[in-house]
Amino acid sequence: MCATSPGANAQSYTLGDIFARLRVADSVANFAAVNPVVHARIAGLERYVRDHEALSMTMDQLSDIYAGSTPGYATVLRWNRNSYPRLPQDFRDSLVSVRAVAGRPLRPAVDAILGPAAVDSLYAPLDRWYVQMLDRAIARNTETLRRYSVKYGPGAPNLNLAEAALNYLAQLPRGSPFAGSDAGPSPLEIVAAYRTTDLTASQPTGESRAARLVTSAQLGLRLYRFNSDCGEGNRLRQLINPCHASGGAFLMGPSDTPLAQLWKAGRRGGAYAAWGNYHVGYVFDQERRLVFGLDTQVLPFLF
Amino acid sequence: MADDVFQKWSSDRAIVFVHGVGNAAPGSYAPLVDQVQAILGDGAARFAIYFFYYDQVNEWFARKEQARLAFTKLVQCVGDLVHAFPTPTKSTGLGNVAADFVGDVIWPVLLPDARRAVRTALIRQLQQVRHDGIAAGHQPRRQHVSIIAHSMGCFHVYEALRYAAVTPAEQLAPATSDAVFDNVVLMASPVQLIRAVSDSLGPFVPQRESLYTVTGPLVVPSEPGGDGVPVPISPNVVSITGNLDPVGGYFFRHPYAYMDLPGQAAFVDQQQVATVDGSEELSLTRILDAALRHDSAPAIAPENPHDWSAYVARHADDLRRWLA
Repeated sequence: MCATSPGANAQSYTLGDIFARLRVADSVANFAAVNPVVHARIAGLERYVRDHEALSMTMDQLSDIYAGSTPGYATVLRWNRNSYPRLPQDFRDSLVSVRAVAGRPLRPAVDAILGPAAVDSLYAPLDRWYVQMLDRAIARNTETLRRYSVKYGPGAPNLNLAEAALNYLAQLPRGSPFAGSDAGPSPLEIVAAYRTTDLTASQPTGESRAARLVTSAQLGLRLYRFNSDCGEGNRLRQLINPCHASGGAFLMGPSDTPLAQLWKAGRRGGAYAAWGNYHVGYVFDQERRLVFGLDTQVLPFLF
Repeated sequence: MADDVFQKWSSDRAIVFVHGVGNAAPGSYAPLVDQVQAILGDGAARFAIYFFYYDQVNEWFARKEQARLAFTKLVQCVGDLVHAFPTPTKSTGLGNVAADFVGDVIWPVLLPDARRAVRTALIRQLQQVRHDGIAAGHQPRRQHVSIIAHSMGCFHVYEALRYAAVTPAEQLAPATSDAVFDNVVLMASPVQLIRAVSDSLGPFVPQRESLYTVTGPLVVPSEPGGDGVPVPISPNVVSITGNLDPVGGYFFRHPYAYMDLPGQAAFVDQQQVATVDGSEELSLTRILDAALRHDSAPAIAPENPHDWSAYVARHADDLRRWLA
């Protein structure tokens, strides 16, 4: 009953096989007479696909295009560059139309004539294609959720009130790079931290060189890396492969004392870089200092 | 994020429950599932039961943002909306219960990532349901899947289904995936309430275009078929609320934010503020009858108008019919 290409099986179904099944279904339902608009649409879609030399496209290729994203490098490498057709931007829309026509109204019409078992056999290529796309959709959403977990889940940096407000405001403008999308969260985050537990080494007049607890402030950007294995493993591996890094401006008070007011005259300015939860800062003014610290909040909500 | 719940189907049927506000953890709603299974009787064994828990995601954002102060703003909006909230509700001393309740609402409204994270998790769960059905030998077009949601869960279901209907790549759109849900039953849906609150927040709601509750008219999610005729995500979208349930859009029997989608089946339950000996019939005759029968004061208990279990009990016959 089904006019498919010779030797077609579950692994080698092509877009041509799908159209062959649709033509059978269209014929069984007699859409040429009872639904000429859909009958013409099926013929038009097949003509469009044939014109673009895409009837031989495999399920893999179709699924990549249907997902609406740029095919991955691995997929591109799998394609035969000599035979892979040049496809227009709206080719994906035609694949969506193929599925829409096959689903409603064609399938219920054929169901009523042939019964579910025969239709399930007829629709096998479409079903195989669906399962492949469903598997990919589940995998894609699992990855998206992992990215949300990296940015917001346990182990992600907490935001203080200033950071929460700044990051909220930063995502308001349309097209803001701080706003996420359906593909997942933005990798960017504003850092505006006041840190009271940074360490430096200094030697005030008449005293010996010693490590001192100092206060610093950071204003910068945090970048989430979203690597598949970031932040996993033991402490050493987490240190080597963290899920976030940041950098920006770094401020210290005029003296190497804890809980200093950084907005007073004489403050020292510089830059910092953070790798995971560890940061190093440097101030350039007359009393230069190299500062180390952890990105931990001593007082929740504040700093 | 916990992995999705996998189920082995014994038949071609499944029910997906989506809970409302509060701190729900896996197992929290086992009594409700038992209640629905009891309603279905012997037929319950045919259903694969899924329960979608998402409070873990809300907790991520609550911890990350540390912005509980923002709760106050939303509560004030809700208070202004219903005009009659008592004064303490407008204060900052809401307590943890109110904070959890309001927080579950505010994250999806003010934080696009929060709304998308829950939506993605729910979409993935629904995809897993379809996948499990296929594994049991039933193509999606032959599967009989129903969704029963309560309270804030209705919002997440509405958002997920609206998104799925216009995003064929998620493989849940009704025409292109050739699969609809048998029933989408929304109990005490706050969708209309959130729409009103979001309107009052105005430009402070980021990326409004990704919030289907706010953008455009509220409609039953659908996708155009191959002939251009819209295919609804379900032939039976039901909106149930009680006339004393403020989350469901009624305030002391007056509607102010009841979710009313064109084409939905609408139910507004007549609720009572208290029960007499377990009965919702609150009348002098009933009280006297109970007093005389027990020769003592009747047991009068306050009723929780937002109780999911009570909604299920009141619509036991409907559920049996819809899920048959």
